Amino acid sequence: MDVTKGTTTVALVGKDGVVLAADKRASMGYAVAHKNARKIFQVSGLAGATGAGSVGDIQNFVNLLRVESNLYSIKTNQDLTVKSLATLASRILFSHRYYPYFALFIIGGYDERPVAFSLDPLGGMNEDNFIASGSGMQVAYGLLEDQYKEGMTVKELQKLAARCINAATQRDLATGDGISMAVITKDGYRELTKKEIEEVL
Amino acid sequence: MAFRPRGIGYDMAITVFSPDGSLYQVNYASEAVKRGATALGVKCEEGIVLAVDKRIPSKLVQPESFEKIFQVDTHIGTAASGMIADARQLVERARLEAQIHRLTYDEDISVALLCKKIGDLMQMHTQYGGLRPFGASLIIAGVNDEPELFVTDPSGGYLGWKASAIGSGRTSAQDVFEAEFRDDITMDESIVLALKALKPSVEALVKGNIEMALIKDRKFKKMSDDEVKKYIDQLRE
Repeated sequence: MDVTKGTTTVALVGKDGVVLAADKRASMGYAVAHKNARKIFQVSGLAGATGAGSVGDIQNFVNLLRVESNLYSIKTNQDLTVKSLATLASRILFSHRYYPYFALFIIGGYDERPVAFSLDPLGGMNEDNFIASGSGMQVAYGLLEDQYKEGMTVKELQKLAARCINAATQRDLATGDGISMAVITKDGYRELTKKEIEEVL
Repeated sequence: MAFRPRGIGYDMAITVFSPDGSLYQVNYASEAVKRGATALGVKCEEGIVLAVDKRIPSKLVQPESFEKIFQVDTHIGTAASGMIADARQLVERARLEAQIHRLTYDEDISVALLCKKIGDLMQMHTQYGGLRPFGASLIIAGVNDEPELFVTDPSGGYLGWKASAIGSGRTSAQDVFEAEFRDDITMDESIVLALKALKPSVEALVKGNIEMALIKDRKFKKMSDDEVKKYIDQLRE
């Protein structure tokens, strides 16, 4: 099972927020199936997710997380923390142990501080300051291991994230067709416009 | 049910309303609670005080062999009145729900959510065939961000309280609370107030007859008989 097929996504934790970034290519073997694929999703007010792998599995899984998050808010009058959301995601993935979601996820957001969690298809969950996943993850990690430092600002991280996706675009077949990016700070989730991303580059 | 006096026969099945809109079996279950030993809870800034009258039936009984205050999770406890066997089933469920929540979300369950879950279970037992309502009420209390105290009843309804009592001594205890409870009450004062509220309905306010627990610094802890005695003596002074 090679779920790292296609896609490069990164999540970077900074001083004041989390940056999620991904490419826009959806591949099907050696064909480019879609050139403007959405791989970053808002899950709740202060939480977002990226997905790499089967598009159907990613979309349905994210919808499930949104439903669970909304139900939790309505039942308890408070928002699900990002840590709890990731734990829940891990539980759902593990419960599909023998019929798994073919995808790698990163859940990032803002609790009392910015946080990010990587999730593998069987529910493995790890918190980290910088996470890359998808077929271009090695390329992205090469850059991150050298360039990422703790305490970077969202502005600096946006640039680093864009460079990661760019590098993967150059050296990974299944990554390309542009960059999408979202930033989560204590004020909320925001996706960058095309123009903003061009400015970052 | 024709040719019968009004209201007769409507207590045979729990799912059948009487013409005046009540479910008699649920009312009878509430009656079981009203006859139970008094249980009460006080909420203060530092946490929660729970106290129950153990109502030991004979001096031959080992008082420590049974309990009416139960720990549900590290930060939540409950005091029961009515049919304690029924209450234990609710407590078992509450403990399970608390652990399910921890496993699912990696966080402590909130007292309000736990209370809602127990309320749902109790309600289910007033609507489905083949079941009977729980003949018990629970005071469910704990501390998440701040102390919270709820009281459930056999219909599945629940209310949040600053201080409340259930069981046979409810009225007399509630009178004491209404006269003496303050929002800025300390935990030490709350313990004495709890004993004072319990006093009119217990046979003797003595060591071994009263079971108490505190939830302080987000931790549930039973009080030892000696600790309880210390506060009983304080009340006597």
